[in-house]
Amino acid sequence: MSNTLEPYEIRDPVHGFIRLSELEWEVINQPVFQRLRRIRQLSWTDMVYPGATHTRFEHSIGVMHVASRMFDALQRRSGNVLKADYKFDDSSLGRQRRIIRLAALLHDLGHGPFSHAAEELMPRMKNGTTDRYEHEHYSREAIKHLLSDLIENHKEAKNNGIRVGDILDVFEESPRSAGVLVWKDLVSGQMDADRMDYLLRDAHHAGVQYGRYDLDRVIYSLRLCPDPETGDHHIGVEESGVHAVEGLLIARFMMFTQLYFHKTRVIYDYHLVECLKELLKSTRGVFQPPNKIEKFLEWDDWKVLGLISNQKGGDHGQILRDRRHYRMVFSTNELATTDEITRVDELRDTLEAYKCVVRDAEKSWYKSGSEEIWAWKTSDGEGRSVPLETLSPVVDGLIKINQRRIYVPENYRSDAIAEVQQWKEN
Amino acid sequence: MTGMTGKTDQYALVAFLINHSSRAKQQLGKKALQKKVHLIQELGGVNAGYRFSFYTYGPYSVGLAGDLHVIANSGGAEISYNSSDNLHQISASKSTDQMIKLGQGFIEKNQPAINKVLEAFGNRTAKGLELVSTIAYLHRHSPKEFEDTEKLAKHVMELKPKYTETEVTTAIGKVKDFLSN
Repeated sequence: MSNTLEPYEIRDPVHGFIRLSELEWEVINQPVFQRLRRIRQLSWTDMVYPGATHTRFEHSIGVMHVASRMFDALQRRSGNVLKADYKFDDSSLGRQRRIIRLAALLHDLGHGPFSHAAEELMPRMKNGTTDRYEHEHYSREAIKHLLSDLIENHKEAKNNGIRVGDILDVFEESPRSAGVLVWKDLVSGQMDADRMDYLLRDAHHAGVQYGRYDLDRVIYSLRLCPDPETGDHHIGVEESGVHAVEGLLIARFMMFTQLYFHKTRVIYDYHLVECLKELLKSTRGVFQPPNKIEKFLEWDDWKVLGLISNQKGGDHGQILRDRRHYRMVFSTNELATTDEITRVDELRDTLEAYKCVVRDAEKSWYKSGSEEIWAWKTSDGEGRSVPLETLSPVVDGLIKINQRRIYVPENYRSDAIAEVQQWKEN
Repeated sequence: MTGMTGKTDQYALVAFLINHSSRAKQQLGKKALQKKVHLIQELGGVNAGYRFSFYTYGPYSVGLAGDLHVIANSGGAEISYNSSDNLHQISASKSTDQMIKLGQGFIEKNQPAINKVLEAFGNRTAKGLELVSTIAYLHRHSPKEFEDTEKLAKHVMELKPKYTETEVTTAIGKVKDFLSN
């Protein structure tokens, strides 16, 4: 890409210089995007890893950069599939690349204060399920209501026939066509730009080595792989890239066990949610729904921190101020058997009097494994998709973590531990 | 939809479907399992508590993929790779019945709805299930369009060009019949 098309640049701590088009630059300079500077990527993780204070702002720009690199790699290796099966040509691929970059840049606009934990307080959807809205619903509303004019009237979008609906379609719940779906994997799929960026970024800021892997090699190896069960395409890898993807998956596993599901880090999500419930009393303990997007976006980390500082956050606000978190008194193995899970329920009943709280790895916003990733294996000149784990004993051995832990307030710790001990002996 | 579903109920449902396929000597791959759970949830009205998103390969739940992994690791299912068919096959193992017992109440309560879905669609291949599952997904996410069969068929074919018009309209008819009975 020439400098004329991408005349701006930002120096990113993970990827180096990231180039931006005029439209992307203007989008970044809008207040709704600048708000992401006030949304921390990893919530209160700095209570454990003091360096982890980075924000959604730099992550969003990083995801845009990684997504377009992935796009280029797929176009290079699987251009024939894109043209034959998804009806793209060179011109529509160029347009689609711009759409993907914008979608990746904007995918996190709707995060609440301190990122994922706030999603527990998003209201329930009125669609006959018990599902809550997620940050993507808010991202869509923010794009529609706050960025439509800028994007649709910008010469870059006009010249390429890009409408806001094209961007929304990439992370729409009910997309319009197969041509869009094939790109959805880039932004939210089994091996997407979001994860590829956050592993490296979170590791960098937390100061840990676990999240590092060979991004260049992974991207270089990408291709579209047909699913043998259904014939549809997934983003997969060339056989030569299998070890690079092993590195990515191991990084993910290690980051989950050592950082995202760190025993102290996760209890701070609980304290934050309880504190937010207190701060959101006037709206019954939940945020405004996506159709009140401007009201919702008033909530950012600064607002929450100001209220906590002014003693409005209740007992849990005080815990956050003083770092007096609940303490872990019991944990299952990382791979809990169904028997252990049943027993945790019993123990929770036993510890009810100590105001115990259970944290469950399966309910974590970060996942520890179990993806289906396809590799393209060639033998005797014939290629076919095979599950990655059939080529990699390392991937085959990665377990899905379903650990559960029980916490109690600091002052009940000794009594609760004694109770757990007695329960174990019975 | 019924009330909230616990983790052991979810495990029980997955184990039940594995057992059902093993007894019927049907092949069950990972995609087919995904689509069956989706149909039980969407068309059967059973709140299995899984959240599905739409990808090139149709509705898919990351949570369900994770649960299958946990169930297999706990001995509740056997997942083997058949290299000649290039497919993972999921089958019952010695602890599958025990896994079902963990959510016996949930299974018993929802068994009529589960059986109704399996009788109507359970014999389909993964590709056939994917088509029905795509229609069921649009039933929830584009309810107005669902009323207009022509528009619905057009949307399904844009999302899934691999199916013929006849396949799509026949499947839409079956889903609509199912929902009206």
